[in-house]
Amino acid sequence: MHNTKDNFTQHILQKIEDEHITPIPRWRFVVHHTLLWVPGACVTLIGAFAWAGLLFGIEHAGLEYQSIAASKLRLLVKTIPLIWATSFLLFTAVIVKTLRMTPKGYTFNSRKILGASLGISIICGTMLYIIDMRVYQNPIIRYPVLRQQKELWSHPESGRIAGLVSIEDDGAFLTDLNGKEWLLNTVFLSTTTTLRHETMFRIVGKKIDEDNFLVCAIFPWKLSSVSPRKHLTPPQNIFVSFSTSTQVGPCNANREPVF
Amino acid sequence: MDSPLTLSDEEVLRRSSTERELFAHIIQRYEHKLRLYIQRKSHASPEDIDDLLQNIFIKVYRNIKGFDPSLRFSSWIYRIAYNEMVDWYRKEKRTPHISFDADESILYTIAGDQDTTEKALKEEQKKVVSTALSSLDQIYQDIVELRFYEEKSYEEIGDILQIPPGTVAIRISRVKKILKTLLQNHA
Repeated sequence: MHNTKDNFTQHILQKIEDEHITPIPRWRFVVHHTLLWVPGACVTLIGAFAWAGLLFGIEHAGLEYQSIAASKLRLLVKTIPLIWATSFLLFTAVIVKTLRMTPKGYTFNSRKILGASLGISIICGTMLYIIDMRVYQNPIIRYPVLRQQKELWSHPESGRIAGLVSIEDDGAFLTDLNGKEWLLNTVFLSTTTTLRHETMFRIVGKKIDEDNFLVCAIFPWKLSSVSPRKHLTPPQNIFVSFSTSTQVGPCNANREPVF
Repeated sequence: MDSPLTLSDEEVLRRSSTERELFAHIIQRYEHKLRLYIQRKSHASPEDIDDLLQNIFIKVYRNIKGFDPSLRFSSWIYRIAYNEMVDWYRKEKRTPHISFDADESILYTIAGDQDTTEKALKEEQKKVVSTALSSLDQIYQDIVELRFYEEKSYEEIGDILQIPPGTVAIRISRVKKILKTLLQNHA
């Protein structure tokens, strides 16, 4: 132990000199502090993409299909890509931690940082979504939704198929999302619904055999394509209505197939 | 040229990066304060305290150019000291434990406005307050120590412990409430 103030001071100065201790250059602090913002910015960007993905997922969940699904909520849970929902929550949590580490980050409480992070992600995400809708179809936002929709609408055994409809002289055909061709039986389809040539539809009905599918109800596909690389024209002005309240053949009042 | 004795800590620190001998003033100004702070906070041996102090001042010197001028220098050096002690506890595998001396004026301040005719706390009450403070969670103990023993402002405590000043205020108010209730029950 050092007896006097001066002794201790001299001891420290001597150590600094003997061990050639020098102040760390300023640029290293600048780099360090700047790098702390990089994850925050990346995370906000991912949050924005996640928010845009969520909006896109909700918009294209196919809520018209709700009469057949158990509830809107269940349908949303089933159709909104989990990757966007979880990454949005996960990265929002990460940003709180990261910003806390910035030089003055600790002066803000977690709720403020969380609010700011959510706010920025939501604003940027909404802008990305608008850009996606009007200017450029962003595959990063769309692909998980398209994949999920493809999965949901590739179950002929459960009465759900989707794909490109072509109206030929010998009937209406649908090339489904896996490339298989179906001859559509539209005899029980409401008269107010329209199947349009070269247009994508979701179809609820009943698989009759390996080639024939009985149509109970049709819904617009709305998504431009299954693969982000393909660009098919989305249908315009497709109206779906049910004209009967009683069972029509193999379809019930809700236009659900009766198995 | 100004004498180093009249310069602010921040100015001395700024100039220390090029004039090493000026760093002696920083050491002289803070050695005693930090020694008391470490003593109260760590129960370390005098040798360990010397080692801790040495590490703190070396860290300050190495990080001179990283000092954020929006902070007060005293907050910055206390933050370094606090972090150094946290590391020391971890290395020594010890549990932090602050000893709150039964200093009447400090305990009276912490306990708050007692509605009694007696101005001073009774011996028994002092013991109650001391015991209650020692049994507080570490997060509260750190704040009590910095606020009432080191006499730091809420903002400075926030800068030292890296928490928002609002959180400091809330925690101090909680401690005061706890102690007030304890003393009222004891009266």
